[in-house]
Amino acid sequence: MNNAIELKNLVKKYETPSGLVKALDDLTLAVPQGGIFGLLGPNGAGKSTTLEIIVGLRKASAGTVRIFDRDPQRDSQWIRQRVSLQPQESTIFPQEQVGEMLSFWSSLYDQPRDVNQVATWMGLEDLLTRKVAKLSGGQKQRLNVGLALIGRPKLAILDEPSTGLDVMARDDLWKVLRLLAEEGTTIVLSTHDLDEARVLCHEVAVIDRGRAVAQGSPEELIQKYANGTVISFRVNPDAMPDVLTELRAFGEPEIEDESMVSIRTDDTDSVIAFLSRRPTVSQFHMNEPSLHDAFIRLTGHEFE
Amino acid sequence: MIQHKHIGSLLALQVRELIRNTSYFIFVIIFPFIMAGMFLFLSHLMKGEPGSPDFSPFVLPMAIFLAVTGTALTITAGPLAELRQSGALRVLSTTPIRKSDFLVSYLLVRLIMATVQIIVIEGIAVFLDLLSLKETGSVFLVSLLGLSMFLALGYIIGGCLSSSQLATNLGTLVQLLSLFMSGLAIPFAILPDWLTNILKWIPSTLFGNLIFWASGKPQQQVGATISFCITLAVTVVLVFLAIRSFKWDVE
Repeated sequence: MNNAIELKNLVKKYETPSGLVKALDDLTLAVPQGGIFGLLGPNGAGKSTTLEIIVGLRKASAGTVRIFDRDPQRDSQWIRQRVSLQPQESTIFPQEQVGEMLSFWSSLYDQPRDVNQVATWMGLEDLLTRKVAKLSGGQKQRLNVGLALIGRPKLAILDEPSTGLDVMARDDLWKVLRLLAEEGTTIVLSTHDLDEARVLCHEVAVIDRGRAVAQGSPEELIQKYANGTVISFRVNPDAMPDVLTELRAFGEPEIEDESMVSIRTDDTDSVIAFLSRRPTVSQFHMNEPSLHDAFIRLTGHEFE
Repeated sequence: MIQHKHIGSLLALQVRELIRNTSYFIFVIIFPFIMAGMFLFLSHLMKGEPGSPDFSPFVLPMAIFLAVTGTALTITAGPLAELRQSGALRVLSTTPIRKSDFLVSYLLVRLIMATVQIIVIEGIAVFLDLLSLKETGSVFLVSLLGLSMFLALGYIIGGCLSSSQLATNLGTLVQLLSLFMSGLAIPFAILPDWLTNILKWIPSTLFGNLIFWASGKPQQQVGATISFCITLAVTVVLVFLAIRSFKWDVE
């Protein structure tokens, strides 16, 4: 057993007033055990539906789901002890205090983590007696992530966990997630933050229109699908025709405005060397290939 | 049965959520006493007035009816719909807790609360000489039957509607309508016969009828046995419908 999650040919259709909508369309992916796995895709791509099927909240219309080699519908009790979901809902049980909420959640599991440890991880240690209804959006989000982690899950499903967090809280959350991944917890998170996916995830699957269009480490995807570095520079308009002609040896240059040109290339050193020899060229700027580039290449459209 | 390891934390959660929702909780606690106090006051004022109705026989049945329906409808239906609306039920279904455990604990806390209310009301009624001590047992048992019937109804309302506001309003509407049609707030003696002949067969009226019977009041319209049988049958049907119609999640 190598994979925490195996999804094969998943289809999910919804009845809507305007007809049948396919949220998942033959989605296949495998999530290895341990590490942080990102489901990457724009809103409406099918990420949340995929996560809901994994935790058994929804049934797939077709296809198979295996969680730690078990059927989530048949072995639901075994899975619920080991798989947790970060609630996206902001105020479940609004009358509860933060400490009471964490304690209640921990009481549901056989081997929970210490409430104070999770509260400290999530920066909630000073808010234990505050009512959930009185928390700010970011505090509620941290509590929700804490609830997903308190049962010591083998697999934690986090649905856009850093939404609403400030930079410091997000960095703290990333540290905790890395720590848990090092301890062997499998963390699956959905995100539409490409930077988060690149920095945090060991592996990502790009979801688009209900399909997993690619899977691999962020660097692998960038190397495979993002077409080189984008170099942009200013050029004297009088010299522009000559520069463009010579640049075509390295790729197809694009004119951004009357004096700004960019070119995407894998041979960065040669282009830089070429441009450096030109006194009519100035203000170099390099954009490393990104997941965004890879996404556009994979899907043929912008991320958002 | 509720899993033993969960019961303490589940019940504690349900109690906290119930009593901290002060606007509903306090209203449901004090409303029966306010209405009973008003009827006692009216009864006191009209005492000795020739031809005036005597409200004193209505004080105890009405207080029990309001306690039972307030708990079973107002603070059951709305908060249950709220749990679905907020996504709490949905999230809980991904935890090891069994759905039935959560719902049983939800109802158990309300059952205990209404039971305590009934006992307190009976105690005050005995103190005020509105009820004899030997009648307290039968009034209590009859109240539990009515509580079961209305709890099932509150569960149906909260189990189907996704808007807590709508569920609360509907629960309160059902409570007030059933109170006014039961003969507990408006004596049947002042209503036309044709209307009384219809209203006396409504299950909530039969429940009121049973309280009259159990407390030895002469206002009952239908025999105790038939009232009991119909109320029990309606309760069984409502419990069945409550279980079948409950929606855990919003699609």
